[in-house]
Amino acid sequence: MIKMTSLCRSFDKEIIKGLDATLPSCGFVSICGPSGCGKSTLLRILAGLDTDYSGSIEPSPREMKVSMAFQEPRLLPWRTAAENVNLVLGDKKETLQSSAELLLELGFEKGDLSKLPDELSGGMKARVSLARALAISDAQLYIFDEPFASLDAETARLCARVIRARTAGALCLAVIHDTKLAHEISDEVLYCKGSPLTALE
Amino acid sequence: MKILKKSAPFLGVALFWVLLWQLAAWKTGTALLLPSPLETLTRLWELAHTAEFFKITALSLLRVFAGALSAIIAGTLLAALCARFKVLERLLAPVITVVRATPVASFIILAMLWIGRGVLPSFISFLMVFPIVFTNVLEGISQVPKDLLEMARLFRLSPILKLRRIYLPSVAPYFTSAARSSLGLSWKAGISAEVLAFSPDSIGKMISQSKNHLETVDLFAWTAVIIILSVGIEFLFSRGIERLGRRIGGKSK
Repeated sequence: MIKMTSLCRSFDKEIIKGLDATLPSCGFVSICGPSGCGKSTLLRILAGLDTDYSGSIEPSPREMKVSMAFQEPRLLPWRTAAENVNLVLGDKKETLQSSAELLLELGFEKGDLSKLPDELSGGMKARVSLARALAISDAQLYIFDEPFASLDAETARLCARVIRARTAGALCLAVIHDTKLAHEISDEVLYCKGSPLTALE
Repeated sequence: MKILKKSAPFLGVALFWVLLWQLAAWKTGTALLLPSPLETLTRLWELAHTAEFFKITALSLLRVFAGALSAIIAGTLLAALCARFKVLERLLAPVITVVRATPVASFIILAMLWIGRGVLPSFISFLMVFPIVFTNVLEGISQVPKDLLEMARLFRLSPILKLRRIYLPSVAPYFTSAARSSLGLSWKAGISAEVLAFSPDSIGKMISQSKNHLETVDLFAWTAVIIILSVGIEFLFSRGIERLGRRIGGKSK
């Protein structure tokens, strides 16, 4: 269970103000809300990338093993799709095969595994980023920031199935704009309330 | 046949300029002012048949490139340190600016007072290459995409993996472009230093001697040696860099 108490974060203006929320220790939880409501900021705080917040999070993001697929794919342009996934496994030859298999599970064609990011479509890049996050098999918290934004509905469902299968026993937190899809694939859907963000309901 | 077709335009251009040179030599009428291409080539052929020629050329190459290589290593390491410790960067900034702005002739003359004539070309070559490599590598490090570094932090990539897979490929284009442009410069500056310092067993000394003895054909022949070596080095370096680039995985700038 992750417990957030009086969480606040400001940049030029307040983005999150006095947020109290509790997240389960496992399952697929979707967060829905309009653009700019503080979803991504919250995810960055939970990932341990943003530490300039006030309030408390139990357990602290530093104590958790977190894996994440960013909103933008953030791939190394000079490494192939499979190598980008393999990077987080230590870039070892022995793990390249399992990295490739993960991509194949997410609907990649064999011929696309050795393509560089520049040669991949937006949807394919998003899946490489997804596979990279899923390659970490022992994370306690998986964070996905708009993982299905550039995927068609069918591929999004396929990816959601893979995510659920690969992260069983851990907590998956995903920002999803399509509320219908969010209800279909999640154990729980939370809506962002307030501007700045004050509650998740 | 294909090679002949490919090189035909180049050969045509070369022939045009050689003919123009020949015409100018005819018009001048004396090898003292302007030797003809044939006279230059003949002298070059004669020189190439002496043991001294290879010794002199090899020593000049060794001197200049020992300096350039030390500058490449020192410039890269120091740039990496400056990227890590900003105080060091601020401390070095005026030195780099002064070295870049000072005419090479001033350095040669000063260095003649400070160090031996033998090491002078290496020192001058070092001074030519160091600021260019340092500045470019530092710029390259500052341009490493922040979002990739954040990704590396999240996935707790090891420092070695970060260096190999993020820093090296990102900085490689800046490094190669600096090394390529400064290498030719260091070769020419190194030879100039040899001329002024009259370095023993050097191309510069031969040039200096040919000027003193009014042997313009010799001057042309040695200059041709410098040009041929310069083009050859640039070609070999570009090939080497391409290979290295492919291994590291960076893109060429």
